[in-house]
Amino acid sequence: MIKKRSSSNILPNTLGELELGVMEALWQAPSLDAKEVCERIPRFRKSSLSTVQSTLERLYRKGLVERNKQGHAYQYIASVSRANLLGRMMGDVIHLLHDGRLETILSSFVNVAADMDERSLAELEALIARKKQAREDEP
Amino acid sequence: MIYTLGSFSAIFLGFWLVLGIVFLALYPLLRSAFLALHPRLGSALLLAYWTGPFLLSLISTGFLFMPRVESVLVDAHCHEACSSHVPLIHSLGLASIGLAACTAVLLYLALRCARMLRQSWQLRTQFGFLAQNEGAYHLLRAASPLVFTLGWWRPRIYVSEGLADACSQNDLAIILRHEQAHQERRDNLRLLTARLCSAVLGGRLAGLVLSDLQLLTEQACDFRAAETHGHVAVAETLLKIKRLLTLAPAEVPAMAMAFAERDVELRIRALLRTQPRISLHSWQIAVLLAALLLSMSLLISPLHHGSEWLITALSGFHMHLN
Repeated sequence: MIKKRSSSNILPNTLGELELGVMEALWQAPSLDAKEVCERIPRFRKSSLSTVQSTLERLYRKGLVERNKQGHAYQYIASVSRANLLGRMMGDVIHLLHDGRLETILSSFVNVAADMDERSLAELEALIARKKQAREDEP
Repeated sequence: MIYTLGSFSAIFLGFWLVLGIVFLALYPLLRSAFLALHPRLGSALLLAYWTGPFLLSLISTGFLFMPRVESVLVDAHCHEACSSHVPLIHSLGLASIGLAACTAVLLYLALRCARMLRQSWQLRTQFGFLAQNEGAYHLLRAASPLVFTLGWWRPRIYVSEGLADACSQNDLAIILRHEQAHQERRDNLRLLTARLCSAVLGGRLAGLVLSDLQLLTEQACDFRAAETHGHVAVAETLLKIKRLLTLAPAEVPAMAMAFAERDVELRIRALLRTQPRISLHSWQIAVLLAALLLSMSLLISPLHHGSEWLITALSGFHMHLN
């Protein structure tokens, strides 16, 4: 049974280091079994075959990998691309910025949560244009 | 030992709460002065003001329990024996309540801090894994336009491909200078400190202080970028990025529309203001610090007597209940 996601996991698409390592291995090859994934994981993240198997199981339940049974072993295929996963995480970050739940962890250049109407934007544009004009007119 | 620890905890917590309420109540009177300062100075002073109740309470209570300092700063008075003394709770029940309340608050802060540390580490691990190091920043190969600085002690800048593609070289240089200022100033750590030190306070006024602190922090970084690129260019880039985000409605859920909606406008207007913001000379800051130290030392005696009065009153009430 899959464990309930820890409440301190800030992003719905949170992946642990080993999960990311496994995804990286699957992005590099069309399909792999658990043993092959284990061999391809970078040395600093090396884990036992059973740990990799349970990680693959977790990724399968999260819908990030697909699997087909071939003989006694499963062949795993990444079902989301690297860009897709990154896009999901960025979406999570934007949503959390809106909630104000990330304000002590990260600072963004422009507050994505703030909405401004077209009239205010146009007023600011006019203000900037006037300022530029005044600077050009200066002797 | 429990009597000393309990007394220290109760006085520290009570003084922190009282000072917090006083500082909060005074903020509407001081707000315009903070906002009139140069944002670099304004953000530093507002941070000091907002963390003041916690720090002042901790230091003053520490002094109160140091016999040497106490004998100098508290005017001589006698209770049963005329010796140097600290304000001590003599009831085990009251001392335990003080210690338990203080431990609960500090534990709550520690847990909150640990949770945020874990979240920050998670985000850093994931984006670190998926991002591409471009030297000055880390590139995220995603279409959503986003740029942010992540982390407390050694923050990293992340720029999405969507944003980098939509910007000119000059816009990107301005954005990076702004984010580097966040990196150098460790703004995420400053905001975390402000949030933790004011954890005993809540409400709209406390929210206003924190939102002003965030605004001044952003303005400080805008002004830092303006030193290199000019105020008008930074204002233009801000507006351009704001427009870019407005044009990406799929990424912006409607639920957040009311939150800090004047931020960008205030930042642009601050950059374009003709009259300069007020800065303080180093001697003026030294005078401020000296005044603070003097008022703190003058506070020790009333704090000592006030604590003794409160302890006597509470002990009497406690005995009456028993």
